[in-house]
Amino acid sequence: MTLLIAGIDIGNSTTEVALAEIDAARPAPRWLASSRVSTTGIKGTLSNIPGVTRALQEAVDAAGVRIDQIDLALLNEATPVIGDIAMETITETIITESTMIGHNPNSPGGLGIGVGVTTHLNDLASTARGKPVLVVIPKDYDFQVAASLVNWALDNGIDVQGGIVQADDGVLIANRVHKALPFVDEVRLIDHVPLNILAAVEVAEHGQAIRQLSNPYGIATLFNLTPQETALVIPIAKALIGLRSAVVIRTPAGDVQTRHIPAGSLRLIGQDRTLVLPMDSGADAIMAALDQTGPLADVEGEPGTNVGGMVQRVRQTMSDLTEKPLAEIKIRDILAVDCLVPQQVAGGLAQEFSLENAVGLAAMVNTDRLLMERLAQALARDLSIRVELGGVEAHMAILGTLTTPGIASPLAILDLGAGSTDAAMLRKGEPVRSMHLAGAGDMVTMLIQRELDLPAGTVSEVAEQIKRYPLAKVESLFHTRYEDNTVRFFKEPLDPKLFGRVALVTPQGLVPIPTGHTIDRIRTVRREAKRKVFLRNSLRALSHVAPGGNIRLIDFVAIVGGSGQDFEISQMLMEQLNPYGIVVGTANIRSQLGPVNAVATGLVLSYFERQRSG
Amino acid sequence: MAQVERDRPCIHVCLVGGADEELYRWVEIGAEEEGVPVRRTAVQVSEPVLAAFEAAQGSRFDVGVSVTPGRVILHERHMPAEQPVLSLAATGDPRPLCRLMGGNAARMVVRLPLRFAGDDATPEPAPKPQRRDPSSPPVATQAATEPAADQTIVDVATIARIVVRILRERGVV
Repeated sequence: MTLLIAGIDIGNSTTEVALAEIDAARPAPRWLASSRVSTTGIKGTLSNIPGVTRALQEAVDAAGVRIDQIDLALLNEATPVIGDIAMETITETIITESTMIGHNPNSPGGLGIGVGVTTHLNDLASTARGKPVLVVIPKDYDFQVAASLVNWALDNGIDVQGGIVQADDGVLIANRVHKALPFVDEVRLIDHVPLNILAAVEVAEHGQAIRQLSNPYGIATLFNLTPQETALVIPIAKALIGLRSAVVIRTPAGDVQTRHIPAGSLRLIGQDRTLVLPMDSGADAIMAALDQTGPLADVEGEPGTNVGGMVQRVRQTMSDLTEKPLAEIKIRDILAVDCLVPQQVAGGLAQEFSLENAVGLAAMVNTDRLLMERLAQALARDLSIRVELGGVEAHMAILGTLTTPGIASPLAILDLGAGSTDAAMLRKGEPVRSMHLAGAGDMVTMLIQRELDLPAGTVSEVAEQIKRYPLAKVESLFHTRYEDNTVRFFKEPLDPKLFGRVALVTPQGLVPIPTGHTIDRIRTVRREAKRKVFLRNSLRALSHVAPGGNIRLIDFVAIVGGSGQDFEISQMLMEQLNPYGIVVGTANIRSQLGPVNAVATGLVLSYFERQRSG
Repeated sequence: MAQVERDRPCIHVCLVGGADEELYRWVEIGAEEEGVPVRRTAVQVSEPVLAAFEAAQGSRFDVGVSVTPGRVILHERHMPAEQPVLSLAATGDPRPLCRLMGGNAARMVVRLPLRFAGDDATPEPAPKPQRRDPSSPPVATQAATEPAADQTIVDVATIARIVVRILRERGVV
């Protein structure tokens, strides 16, 4: 008797189906089709059904059968974990008593440092002679008019020291003024520049960064500040480091309110002991503490602080999804990651950003079997087919992975998913050991999005693409230079819109990235995000499943899961695990599917084995 | 000397089809903000795209611009002759377009992404169209002596009047 069996694996990001015909008389299932679609809703909830239906439909279409001909659909049992991610900055730059404009326009005009009282171009003529002024030039004024007025003022003994320009006219004005003066241009919010206030502008040489205004004592010298006042300008100097041009303006005291955000502390409640870690001790300290607490029973954040709110949000999301009371949601694992995210400086004038310390947190809660049973029942009702829970995910993943040519036990697998990083270890005569950890592909995407400050809205889109594809810089209309420095020439000219841009090399062609970041910066952020999440989690997970907790006793590791398809993670893992004497390879499920579909395939195989033996 | 001047790397700009001579200066201004030199050049052909191509052929930067009364074209030496890098039609005032194209020609030389009119994807939008009349007097003192030189330039005239008023107050005039 032949049966049409569908193995369904609902993951955090994708739903995969393996469709096979099995016959107890034959030695192996006959694989008909497989499919992979995006998961609808959160894993383990009834909103998964549309995604499952679509995945099944794709598979049966490919196999030339109908859904109602499926004799049995198998779901992965008791999705062990669902995860959530959050990020909170733990430092903030607030400037008081002074404000600043710091930015890197392509072409500031002139050179040098100027200190004077901010004066509107219109008021320049009525300024007293000999008093140093900085001229403020809104974009309604043509550069020729501005330059001639400044020249006229200089000729008449008005001590113009430099200028702040709204349009991209800095060079044009500086070239037409017959004295070398610094002009900072492209200051969009010029209306916010207070007039009749002492200010300083600095424009650096080509290829250099400003020195005076990025030095607290430099600012103190220009404005004649006391040591107490100097302490207040330190954040300004810090925020201006590395820029080509800047303006610092002395505003009356008390203009900007100081707000201190307490970073808070994290309480790790483990089976062995409970530890309280301040967030500003950094991610490494938190992860080290996690080793000492033993298996986590729960995690709490200090109420009334950033981290408190963050943990509470994770708990609330999980409570909403699983429909369990808030108090019953227990966080079973966390992954903390340090990062630097650009944050707008409070009190700045031109939307300056300063890199602030932040901690990204992935948390995971256990769900129960009831959720999957409820889903199986709903699916059976909707599709009018028999649906059963097929087996524990980790075991299924191992069974599926064993269809890779050249793989044998003992074997460890690393399942690099979107929501969690899982490991399982199979050794002859021993039960399969498995481990599920918070933090995987989705967290990498979040880190990339936040560290590169990609626009919200298209957030996941761009960040997700940066995660997936290598980079290239379009150096001319006919050639691109890839991130590994290789150059490719094209016969046909490229789109002029790509010229000079950093682009992603996708199967659909070059896609420009809508940011001003350099190729090196994007590459570094991308690789660091993957390293911080996947490499750390892989080591954690493997040491948990390794015999005696000793990672060196593992010989072979096969990588499965959606993130296993990543173009660089598997190589990064190989490099990382090589010193432990571990051989790492990417699985190739059923000799053709690569690292995906392991669980779905395993579900079918497991059922087949049971049929044959029973 | 003349030889050196001709061989200096420049963006080559040609005016064809009776384009206003003044437009050359706006291309030059666009390139000046990026710090790239520009030179006026004469071409044999009159077809605008081919004229830009010929200008690009002559340029040591491989970049040429042709200005016609209704259109500004940016070309590069290695492009197919009939396929310009950019070709923008002027709607209304051609001057901002010439400045934008001068800027883009320079950005090709310095390898920065090009700017497109009405392009909001880049952090800094394309330069706002300049509504000021470029024929405004080069120095304010001249404007002061001929305050009503051009009544259509409201702002310049206003500034000029202010200057005059102040000069009078101080007894300069």
